[in-house]
Amino acid sequence: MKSIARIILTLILDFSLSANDQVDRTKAPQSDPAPEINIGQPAIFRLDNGLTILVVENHKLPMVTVSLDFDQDPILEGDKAGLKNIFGDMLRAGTKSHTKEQFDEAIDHLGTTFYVASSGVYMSTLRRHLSESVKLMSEALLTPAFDNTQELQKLIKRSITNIKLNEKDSNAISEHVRKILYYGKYHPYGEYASRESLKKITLRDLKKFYQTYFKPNTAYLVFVGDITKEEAKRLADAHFSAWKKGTIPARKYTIAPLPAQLEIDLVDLPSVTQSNISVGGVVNFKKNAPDYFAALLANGILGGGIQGRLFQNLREQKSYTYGAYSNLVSDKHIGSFYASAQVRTEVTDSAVVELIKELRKITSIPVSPEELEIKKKENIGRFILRLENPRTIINFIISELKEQLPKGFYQNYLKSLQLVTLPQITAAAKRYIPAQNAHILIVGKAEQLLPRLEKLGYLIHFFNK
Amino acid sequence: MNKFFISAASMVVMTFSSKAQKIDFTEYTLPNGLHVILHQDGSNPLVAVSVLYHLGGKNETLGRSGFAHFFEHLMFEGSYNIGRGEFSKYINDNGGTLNAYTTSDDTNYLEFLPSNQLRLALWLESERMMHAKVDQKGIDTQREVVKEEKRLYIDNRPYMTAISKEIPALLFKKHPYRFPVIGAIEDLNAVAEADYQFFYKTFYVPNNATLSIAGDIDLEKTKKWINAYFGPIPKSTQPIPRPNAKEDPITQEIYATYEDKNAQVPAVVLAYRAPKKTDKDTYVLKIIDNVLSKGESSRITRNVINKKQLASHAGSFLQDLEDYGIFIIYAVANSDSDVTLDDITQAIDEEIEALKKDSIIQSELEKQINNLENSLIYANASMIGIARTLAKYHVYHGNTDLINTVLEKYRRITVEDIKQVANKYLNKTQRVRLYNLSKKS
Repeated sequence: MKSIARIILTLILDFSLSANDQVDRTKAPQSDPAPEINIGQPAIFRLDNGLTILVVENHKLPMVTVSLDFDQDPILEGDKAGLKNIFGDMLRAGTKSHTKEQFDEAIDHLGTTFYVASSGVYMSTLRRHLSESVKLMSEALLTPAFDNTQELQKLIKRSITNIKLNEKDSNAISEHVRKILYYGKYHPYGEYASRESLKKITLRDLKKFYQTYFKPNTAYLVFVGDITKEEAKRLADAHFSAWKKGTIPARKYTIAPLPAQLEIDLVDLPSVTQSNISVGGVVNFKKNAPDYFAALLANGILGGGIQGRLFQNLREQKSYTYGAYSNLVSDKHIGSFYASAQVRTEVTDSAVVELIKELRKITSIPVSPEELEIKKKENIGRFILRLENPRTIINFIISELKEQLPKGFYQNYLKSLQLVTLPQITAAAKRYIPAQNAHILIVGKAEQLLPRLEKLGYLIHFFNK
Repeated sequence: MNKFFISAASMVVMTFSSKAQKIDFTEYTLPNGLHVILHQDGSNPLVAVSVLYHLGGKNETLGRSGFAHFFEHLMFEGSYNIGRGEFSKYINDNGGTLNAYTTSDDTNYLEFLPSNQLRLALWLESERMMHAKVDQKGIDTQREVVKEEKRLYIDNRPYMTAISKEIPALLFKKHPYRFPVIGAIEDLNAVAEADYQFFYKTFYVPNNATLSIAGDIDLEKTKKWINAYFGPIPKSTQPIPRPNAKEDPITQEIYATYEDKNAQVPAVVLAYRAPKKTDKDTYVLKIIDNVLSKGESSRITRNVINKKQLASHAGSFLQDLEDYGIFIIYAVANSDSDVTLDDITQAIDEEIEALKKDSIIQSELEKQINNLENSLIYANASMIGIARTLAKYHVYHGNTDLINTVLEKYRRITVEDIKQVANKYLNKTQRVRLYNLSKKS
């Protein structure tokens, strides 16, 4: 038997303990007492037009970030899919008083970073350029011209190229097909741009989108950094009070149900040497669910990070992959679960077997008390680390407001984690992890994969990208 | 015990002056050669620990490409006191995160933890430096994992083989920068026991490492712990080899094509050999890099993408390395047009020639300084960022305080410098021009 692991590298050095060596190297040191956490509250106020302003002061660095975030239902683009993607760049492609070139030059001259999307705006600026930067931001937001045909042409060309670029990218294909499988083509989360839909987009469509959805009463304007509440108030008054409020249409959508049993959805991509596997489906998972924290921990035990069961099994024990993880995504409208890994073609069927095995295990066999304790400790630590970024507090508050969370959701976050019990973990896993009726989506070399996938005994659907 | 307030109230107390951006630090060297840099910041109860080994892809012996990075994976396997797989588990289970990076020049291990776990990180990192342990099972597993990493990030991604493998091989003929950091599968398979021994004994020694810590730490306690954990690790007496291959100048444009099975849209990559990281011209090239492609008003973005609409994506980046740098300009064509890569190259060349002939104007230079100031400050917004930057400035520049003064170096640059440097490095006859084409299947 040669099963005893051979020690290849040992450098056990022979030296006597020096006077200052008072540590016991044979075991992990005791940690100091846990730090006390105190989550501060940002200043919040409203303008007459309904715009909500939040301010977190942090004077360590002479910079300020300013963002605008809309609270709106998902928007369906229909036969003009791709519009939301183009919209952001078009909003800054010329205003009533400046051409795109003039505007770009002004922003860049300040050294300011400025991103615009259909769902909001992000800006990062030196403190000394704050007023000028906010003025430009407001100019783009409140007085866009939507008259730049050249820029629209460029963005459409780029979007068409991006579709082409993604044609052999297994990640992009997997994400695309996964969304169609989970939400359907006629849901805002599942619809996708095509050459045809992109070519239909006109300046008038963009203007209409702006007039329909860009209203202050559904937006949060956030200042974080080297700024005081008074300064923020003054800037908001000066640059955003002229913005007119309005009503935004509310929308509800229906979702395709999960399959009746496990099924394989196969996309052929002959150029790759790895298969992209993701196992999952839609789940109704919201942050205000009573079992939110149990579900968070259950998913963490299954596939959260490098100590998750999936990573330990598929990478550290079997070396099928560089990484294997699971995601349980909460969403105000409809959430999703999927476990995924990219594995070399030859082990695809084995990897599917292991993924399903892990999903079944977590939904049927109780986790051990140690596993739960460790996962709690891990999550508590991660929560503390997230607080380094001052925007975290803002994200908390906006999430509490948008998702109708119980008051103090984040203030009590660590306590809520601590309270989760073992039976709650299994119950939550059963509820949110579709181990019996998930889509097993595989993007890879179909010809080579098929004979072995067929042996797994699941129904196989073929997908064209 | 410290109390931590993340509330707005406590933040207002801090200074308002321009001093606010100064990063204070303490640095010293242990008798065994380990260099230590400490930055104290109590605003959040967390700490970042970085150990930078001055060893990277360029230190590999011939026929062992990818070994430095493979070895980085092995260095998580365990030690005399840490069982296989437990290294990451300790960090993770105590609420921390960890990461490691291997470049051509260095290998960097990083832990980010709640501050009450600082000693844990010190114990783990000192174990790794003192007596790491790797068994055959670990080697076999990690070799496969690295191969999967290569498939994931290089082999199955468009343009990645051209950028990471083809370009370096064309740009360098003698220096080990010609090999990709991820390496070649056959080289990974060839690694033998002697390689492990040599690598560990030669490079994973305190006199080849920098320990930097940033966060909510008690300076005196931290120093005591560092002494206790790292002090007993002996200094290595054997010399640390550093490659010093000098390249012959490129005197004629090197043209090549690469048929890429993952690329659906053709792209051009122009690569120029740049000076070493510490050269004053490197700072000038950084500005040129931004002039060409940072922001919507940058020259390539404005002209090649927005106005002429030849490329869907285009940009530049400067990879500054210890011995030489690599300056790359790339452009991906628009798929829905009959534009050729020659057309795109010509449009880019017009931008470069304009720089060489007329430089930039003073206000454009001011714009770049504002821009750099913003990104330099932003880099200091996280403890990990600070820990890494401190270590790099120490190792490569021998001047840790560069973290507070580097902007001055940029401020001294003139429009005349821009013109000179463009003329010195960005010539057609000194470059690689690679056309990345789609491989027909």
